[in-house]
Amino acid sequence: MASVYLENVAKRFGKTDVIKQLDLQIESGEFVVFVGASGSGKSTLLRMIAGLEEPSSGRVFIGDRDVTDRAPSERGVSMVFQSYALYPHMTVRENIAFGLKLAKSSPETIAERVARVTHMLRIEELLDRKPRQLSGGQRQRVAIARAIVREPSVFLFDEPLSNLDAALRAHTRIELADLHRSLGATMIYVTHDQVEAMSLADRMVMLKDGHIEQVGSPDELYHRPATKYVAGFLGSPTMNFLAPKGIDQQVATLESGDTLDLPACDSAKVRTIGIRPEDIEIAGQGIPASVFHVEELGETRIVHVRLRDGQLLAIRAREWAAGDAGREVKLALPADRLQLFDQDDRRVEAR
Amino acid sequence: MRMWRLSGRIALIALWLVLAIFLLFPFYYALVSSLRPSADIFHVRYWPVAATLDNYRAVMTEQPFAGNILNSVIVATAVVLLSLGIGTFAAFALARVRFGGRRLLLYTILGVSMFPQVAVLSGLFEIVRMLGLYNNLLSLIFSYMIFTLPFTVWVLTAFMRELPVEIEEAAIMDGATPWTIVTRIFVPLMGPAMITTGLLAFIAAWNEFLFALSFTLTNSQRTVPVAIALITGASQYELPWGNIMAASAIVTVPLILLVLVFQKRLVAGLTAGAVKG
Repeated sequence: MASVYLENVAKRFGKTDVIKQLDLQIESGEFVVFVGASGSGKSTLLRMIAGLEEPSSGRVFIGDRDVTDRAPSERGVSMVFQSYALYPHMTVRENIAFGLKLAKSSPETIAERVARVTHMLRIEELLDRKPRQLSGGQRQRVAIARAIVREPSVFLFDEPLSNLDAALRAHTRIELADLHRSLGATMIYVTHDQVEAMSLADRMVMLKDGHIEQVGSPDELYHRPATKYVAGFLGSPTMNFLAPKGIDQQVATLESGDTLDLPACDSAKVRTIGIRPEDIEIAGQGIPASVFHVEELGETRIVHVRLRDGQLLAIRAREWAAGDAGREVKLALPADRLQLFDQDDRRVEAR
Repeated sequence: MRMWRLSGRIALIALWLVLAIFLLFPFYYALVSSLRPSADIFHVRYWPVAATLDNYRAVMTEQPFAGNILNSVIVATAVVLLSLGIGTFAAFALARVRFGGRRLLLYTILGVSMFPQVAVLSGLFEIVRMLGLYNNLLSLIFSYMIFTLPFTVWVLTAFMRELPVEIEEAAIMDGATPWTIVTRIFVPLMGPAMITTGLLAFIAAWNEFLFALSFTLTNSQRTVPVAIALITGASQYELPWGNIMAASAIVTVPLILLVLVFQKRLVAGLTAGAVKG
């Protein structure tokens, strides 16, 4: 177990800033997820912690040690790769033991540790197979076993679930959370999948174009997004955004001419109003809209409506069915559910 | 339809026959000739009549032919081992290490192999003499590397590029040094490519004539192709075809054996791309 501290790190490849100067403190034992679109720099950040990339400037600390100039194997970290990266010519046993062998551990230690991790991940019966004889899920386990066996203080995961099918992914997600609990180790996890990020993270680090948009618990990022980008990235369907035509005190006038009550806030700064699909209520009175499509998702439905000015909104609702397309409805947008953003797309806090 | 299929099959068989005759007949004829008594050799015959091993006996006893074969084996084996050894590490650097002028270096290596042997012969001769290697097998090992190394490096570089970077990075995380990565991870994965290039290098070294002729003087240092070319009869007016054919047959056998032994791996190396993890 160890904390990780990135001090003013930046990474440039030629002229492109992949990571703009940033600071990040990760507590010991925390499960932190780096999330962002491709090209946001989340993998580069992870690789700098691993030691596979050298920061162009800044320092990397693991525990209290400055490891910026240390080789990956001296950092007490281990990594699980997206493609698993098992050694194809070695058996599962050899794959897991490889790092220990290089570290010149005694044969007894190696045997004992390999036995322990393979028991933990329930892959004992696979020990003498080669990677090509394993399924994707099994390879994944072996890759995790190989990471655990060296007993690192920090685990790094680079999109480890993206090559698995959906059912297995959900399953492995829970196992990873369980693993985190039982090992108590610091884990840093990179993904572009918001569900994975939300479900695993103690804290999420949302990256965009090489800088941090927001750091916080999944709950915080989802319900109190610091920027419009974060608000739009999390949630499916994505948050609805409305641009008010004018704002007078606590009342916003929409393009359609309808009015909307805002929560108590510095309302003059508001440029964008956001609301999540599950927060819109289809009510007896409110903003008129017409239903043009209903998506059946099984446990819920997504009702797509059009306001009078043509603005589209998505609403998560339990009632309503495909046959309701064409119906006229009234929408209530509760003031306490609105997310407000200023001209720089930053959050405007309700008072 | 049936007619078409039948004639198609006949055409295919005919094609194979032509190919077989074209490729195998010269060797077959050499084999047949080598088994015939010298006196009979100028009659055209397509199968051995009154087969005899006299020619084989003669070629092994009248000159140090066994020594020549040994020379060839030593030279070809050394060339293969050195080419693969140097080629593997060069390929690692060229495929995986980022450094300036990498591309230029790669093309220079290719460029070296484009000079005809004759063009570099005299210069090389001076170097060989300067190093004191004239009439020494080392001169052949040294000079053969000029043409075996470039293609070894190129093929291995291309193959190594195909190996997933993540495997190398996993090894780095496991604490592997570049040496360990090459020897414990890459070499086993590149087995088929190494066998293919190694075999090609062996054949090239085994068959080489010009350098072998130029850099050796005495019969005891000669390799097989030169020795065969310089087989002489009792007088300068007699060319002992029987002996020459027997010698040719003898030296072809190792190549055929090698190809047969490595057949499976060879095909894998020629066709396979990277190892999918």
